[in-house]
Amino acid sequence: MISQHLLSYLIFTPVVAALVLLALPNSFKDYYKWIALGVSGVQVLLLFIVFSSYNPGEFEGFHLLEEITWIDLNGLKVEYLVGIDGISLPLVALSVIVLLIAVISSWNVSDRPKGYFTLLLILNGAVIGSFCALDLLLFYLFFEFMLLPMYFLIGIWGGPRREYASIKFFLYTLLGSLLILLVIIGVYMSSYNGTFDLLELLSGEGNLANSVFDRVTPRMILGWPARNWAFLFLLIGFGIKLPMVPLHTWLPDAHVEASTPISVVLAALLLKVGAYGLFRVGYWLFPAEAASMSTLVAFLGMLSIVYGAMNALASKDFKRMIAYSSVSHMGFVLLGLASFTVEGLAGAMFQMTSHGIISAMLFLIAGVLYDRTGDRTIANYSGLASKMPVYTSFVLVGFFAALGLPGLSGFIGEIMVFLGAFRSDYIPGWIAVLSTAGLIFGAGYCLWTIQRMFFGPYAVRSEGLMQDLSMREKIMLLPLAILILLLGIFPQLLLQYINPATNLMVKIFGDHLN
Amino acid sequence: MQQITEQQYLQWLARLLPFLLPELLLVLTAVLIIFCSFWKKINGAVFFITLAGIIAHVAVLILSLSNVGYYERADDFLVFDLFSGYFKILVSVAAILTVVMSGRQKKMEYYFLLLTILLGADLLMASHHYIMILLSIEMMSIPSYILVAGLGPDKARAEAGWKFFLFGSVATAIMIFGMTYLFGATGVSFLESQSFTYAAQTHPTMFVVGGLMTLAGLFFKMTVAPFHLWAPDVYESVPSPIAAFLSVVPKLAGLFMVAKLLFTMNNEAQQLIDWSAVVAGFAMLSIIVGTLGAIGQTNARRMMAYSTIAHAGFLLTILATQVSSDPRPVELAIFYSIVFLTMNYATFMVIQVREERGGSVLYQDFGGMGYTAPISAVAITIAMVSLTGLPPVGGFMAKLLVFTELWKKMTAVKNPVFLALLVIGLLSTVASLFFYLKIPFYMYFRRSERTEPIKIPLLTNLLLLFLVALLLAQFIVPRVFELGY
Repeated sequence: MISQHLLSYLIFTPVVAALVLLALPNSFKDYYKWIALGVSGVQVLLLFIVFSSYNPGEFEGFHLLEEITWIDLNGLKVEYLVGIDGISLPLVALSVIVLLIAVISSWNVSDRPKGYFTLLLILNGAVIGSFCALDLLLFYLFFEFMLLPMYFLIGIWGGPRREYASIKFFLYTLLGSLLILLVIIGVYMSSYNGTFDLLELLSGEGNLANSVFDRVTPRMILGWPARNWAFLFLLIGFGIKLPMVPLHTWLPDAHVEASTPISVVLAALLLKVGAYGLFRVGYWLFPAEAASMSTLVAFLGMLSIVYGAMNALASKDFKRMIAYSSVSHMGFVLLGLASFTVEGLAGAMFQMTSHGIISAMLFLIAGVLYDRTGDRTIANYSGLASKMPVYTSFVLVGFFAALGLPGLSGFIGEIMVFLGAFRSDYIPGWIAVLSTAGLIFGAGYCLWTIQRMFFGPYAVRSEGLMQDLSMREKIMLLPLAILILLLGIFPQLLLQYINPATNLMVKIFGDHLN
Repeated sequence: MQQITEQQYLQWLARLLPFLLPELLLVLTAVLIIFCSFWKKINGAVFFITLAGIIAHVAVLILSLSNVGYYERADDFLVFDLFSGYFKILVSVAAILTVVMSGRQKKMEYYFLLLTILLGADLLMASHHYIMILLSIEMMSIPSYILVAGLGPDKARAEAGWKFFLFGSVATAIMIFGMTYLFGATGVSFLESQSFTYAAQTHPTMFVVGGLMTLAGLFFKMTVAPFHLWAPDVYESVPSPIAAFLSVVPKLAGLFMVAKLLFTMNNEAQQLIDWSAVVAGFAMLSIIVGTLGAIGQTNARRMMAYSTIAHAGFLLTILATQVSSDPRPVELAIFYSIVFLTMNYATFMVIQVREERGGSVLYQDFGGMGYTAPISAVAITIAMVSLTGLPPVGGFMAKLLVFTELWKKMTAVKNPVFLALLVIGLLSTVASLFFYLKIPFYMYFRRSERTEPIKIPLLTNLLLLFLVALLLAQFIVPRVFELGY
């Protein structure tokens, strides 16, 4: 019984809990966080059931499918269609874990806790929903659904420049998502049966003769095939969320202003939704166009890697540096996607999960310092290792994983992406070669920050009691550190799910490209 | 002309009576409240009589609409069909909400004028003949001039009233001129496709000029740019219930008439001019003017005025997507109108809540309302999300359907104006987020000095919750709001 609607339970438990929380009077305000924690606990249990009922060798394609016709209006059919495959499963798992940690990290929120936890729970449902949705419009709805809670979460509970940061985040993302909506409508209109169903679209998209996205006789818009425009729009739309240089400028602002748990969710999950969407919608529906524009995608990926890393190197603010390192690491995902090889794609998917864990950890680390002093300037700290040894050891795990040290999860994703990129027929060699510069800059900013802040003589030039990690902070950081080590040593844990799915995708791409 | 006997005439009247009954009820109510106002003792009953009258009007309408084959044509003057019936129900619902919002404090004249506007709108929906169209438009306009100008010494309102009146009379004059051209070109004084086809062949210039001028008069009612200039002043100075009423009722009535005119003028045999492209052009202009105009505003009411201008553009867009006899755009127009009505009333209701506690409705006056008046804040936030066109509310569904229809039209007709309209529609959605978010922004992100909760009447809160539930339902189960045509 429970396994029939497993994904729906996973998506809607937080939404229902949010409604319950809204209805509770203010006298219960000490229990709001317990409700949020309880929801995450239930989700962890559900996740175990998902893993136990998911057998990657059983069959290719999507598991745990649920399908109901939802809207049938004015000739517009939308299905509630959810399911997971080897690409979405790790991301769903990542979401559940990161959201659990975000709740723990929000434990001390005392300013209007009702609104805070309600929005966090809605965000929770939307994130997991967008990883599970297999109907294009449903996906889009979940995607949009994340915007408003995030806007308020940054704008109300953020730092001093939160208002500017939140509206910038909202406008950028909305612009992107409307480009996506445009393409989604076009895809619907160009499919033979008029459907948003991704599984049907995989074979049936662009089948309708004389439609705008007709595969056989392409329609030209401003001298360029409509299908190429479509992929470009998706690239921009999801690229804003990803974020891809030069569309990334909202990210440092949003990250610096957002509170720690929100930064964690933003970096670990929302960016992944962008990358996941680009793959699931862009590459899935427009493989030939994606292949023909691979050089562009790879170039933007390379730009993100190198430019993000250089910015991180130049950042004076600890959190800003971590934000830019996210830009740099998400560039690897683009590079992997552009390669069209099994290694590259699997590497990109692995990198998404791995970066989700690492960035969550790094933002928590930044939060630890900010909680103690309210100051994030790198130059104001030195020699923290002597006063905070446990903290420093977690910092070392996080930063070494970020710079790609073998044995930690960051290494696996990056090396697979590079294998794919160098082997690929779609990426010019010079882009792959230039991308490796990102590794050097990455090592540069990670090691330099560790050296400046944690080694040397102890000195803190701001007010605050510098004590080592509390129990709550250890509880948050420990599972992430364990996951980083585990995935670094046994990448197979994740790849056993990812590989069959990417193999299938590469096979399908091959059919389309020839 | 053949002679009509008295008996035939009576039979004709008897057949027509059930169709005219809703309108007769309105007339009856209006007469009744005039009598009521003569005696001081039953003065207070005016509110209830008005409410009861409009509710009875809606009830009769719904009952007769549920009859199979609701259709009647009274010579060339009036046509009663399902499409007009749905719109009549919509404007009546708007009238009910306005009466409830106004409360019991108002004078008899106020309700009387509201009833007259409603009657005018109702008759316009049934009009088929130029004279009928003109009469009902005037019946709708003249009371609204008085209502806007107000009966007191308020200078701003008098100015808005004058502006409204002057613009309105010129617009009507232009429309009359256009109609005479159409009459001259077609040779008939009512809307008939064949004669328009004939006119397009024989008198092309008169047909085009006449059509444009007639549309212009209707566009004035709909606040379509460039005939929108009166709207911001009027919306700023009148009480919220009337502002909400004026933002919905004349717009829907005008929309209906434009649809009717467009579908008759744009039949397939007529190759001269693609009227839907013309309408698309006006829609585009309206969306641009509305969006750009709203960005610079600091007053919630002026912002709403520009917002309705932009939404008028979207409503026109729906009409422009009509391809031959496909009924879908018409159904979509009804759906969009329902959503439009819900979100406009929710917004103006909260504006009224704010106004009753201290005059002005600049954005900063909403500061801290998220904590002092939580239900109002949630309601206006959801209304604003809907006005922008984001999920999970009706506004998203409405806009999604508009864009879908537009895409279809774009595929069918290779006229670049539709592609441009699609792009502008999407861009305006992004830009509009900027100003629609301002009120929620002040409500939640800024605190006011006053922190004690604002006391709001239970009825207002219930109504707001009802409108919010409606907006959510329009997203979750839109099927319920899709009225078959």
